Amino acid sequence: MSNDFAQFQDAFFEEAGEHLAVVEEGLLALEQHPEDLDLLNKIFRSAHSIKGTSGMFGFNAVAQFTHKMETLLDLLRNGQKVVSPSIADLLLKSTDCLKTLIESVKTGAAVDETTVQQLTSELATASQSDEKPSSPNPKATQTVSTAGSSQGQIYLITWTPPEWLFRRGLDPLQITKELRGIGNLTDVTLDVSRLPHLTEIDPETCYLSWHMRLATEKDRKVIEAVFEFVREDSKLVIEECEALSVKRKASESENEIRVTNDEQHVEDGEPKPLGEILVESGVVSRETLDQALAQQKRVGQILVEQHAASPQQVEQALQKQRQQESAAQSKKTDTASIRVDTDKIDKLINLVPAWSGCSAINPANYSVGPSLISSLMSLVIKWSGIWGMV
Amino acid sequence: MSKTALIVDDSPTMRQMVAFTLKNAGFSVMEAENGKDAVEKVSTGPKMDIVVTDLNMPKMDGIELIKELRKLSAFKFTPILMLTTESALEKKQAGKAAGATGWIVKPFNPEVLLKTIAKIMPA
Repeated sequence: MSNDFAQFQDAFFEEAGEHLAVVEEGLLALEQHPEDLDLLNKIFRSAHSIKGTSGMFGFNAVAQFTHKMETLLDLLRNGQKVVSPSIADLLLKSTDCLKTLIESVKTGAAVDETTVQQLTSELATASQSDEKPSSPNPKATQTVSTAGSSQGQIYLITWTPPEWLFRRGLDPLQITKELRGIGNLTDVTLDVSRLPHLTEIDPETCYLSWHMRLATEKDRKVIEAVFEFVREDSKLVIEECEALSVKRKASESENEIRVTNDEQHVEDGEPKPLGEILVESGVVSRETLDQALAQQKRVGQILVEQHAASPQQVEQALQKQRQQESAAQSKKTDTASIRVDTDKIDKLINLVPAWSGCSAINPANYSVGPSLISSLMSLVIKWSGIWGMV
Repeated sequence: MSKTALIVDDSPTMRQMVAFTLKNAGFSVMEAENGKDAVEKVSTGPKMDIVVTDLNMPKMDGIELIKELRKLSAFKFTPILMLTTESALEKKQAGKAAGATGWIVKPFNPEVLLKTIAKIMPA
């Protein structure tokens, strides 16, 4: 990151110089007015700003030293410590030291490390710091060590977001989008059991819950991170369901790992015929399968041979089957439309002014024109988008 | 049309760095130096797609700014990201209670910032 931001270093040095002046002048004034809270806040903000910005350039020595100053200043402004002459003196000496640290990263000038160490220690003592020394986070280490050995897992996720989800600008679709980015998300079902009657719905409140199935090789922590901004306030259950077997095909590159469940996965929704599976797995050749299929008798033929049905009866049954197939096909192509009870449309129309905040509009003036139908359809599509999410 | 971002920070350097990161990602940005400045600018300016704000600022801090923005119809559901050195829980909680969408800790990595923004921007 430092490379991209290097062009802003001069701006930082200039800004840091201004902040140092504010801190220095503020500390001197503070000796006269030790309880001036505005002054303490001003000094704190300047130190805070130096800390935050120096970290952006990787000036860690500056950031760490300023952090120690900031900790003490925070205690002072919160009234947990009093500005004594010795503390004011320590902060002034620390400001001088900070100047040399900033000068050092700017020009490469040497820094008196002994002074830095000593003041760091004095600042910590003055803060009566009970901060634990920064040791490596054991949890983080654990995550790293388990991540590599992950064999993949199916998780059942149940998520009930907080009711204020929409009011903080969070979109549940983003969550599912992100989950799809880390694995194969299926069986997304929406639980609308908490949804009140349409007339009682507060459109800004989230009443919904989701159940999802996620097949992923990522660590559980990665899944939890998807819910980062809502996790603490959500009811979130992530259950490990079953392990995935990870198969590598010799012909595939190392990066292409095919993840399959122990059960046969059917991607297009239609199971393959037995013969196709046998050919694919190399048990029989295509020719052998074709020959076998050629010998195969159809059920109508068998029934006629057994005198269980006459050829006419079989032909009539076949005609009926063709009619059913044709009807099923036209029904399939018709699924883009939905049927809505006219009573429900009336209720929706009555709700539109309330939802859009146009309470002055008289519903009696509505005519069911194309724009209204279009608006209603947008509403329905929006809701079905949230409900579907598959 | 490019997405719009409001960047609020009292540090000009920090604002420049956030603006640089977002402009490179195709955003058009508006900058404000504190909460008060931000509220004044958005009251006459265009609607923003995202707000990135510092918390510790003079005149009006980030928490107050978030509360003020949530009162405006144009910002009621706008994602608001807190960008702050405060990683302390109480600051996060106060920000969340005020209506913040998410947070990121300074010093920030530009990639993490953009990733986090993508996470909270509407689909």
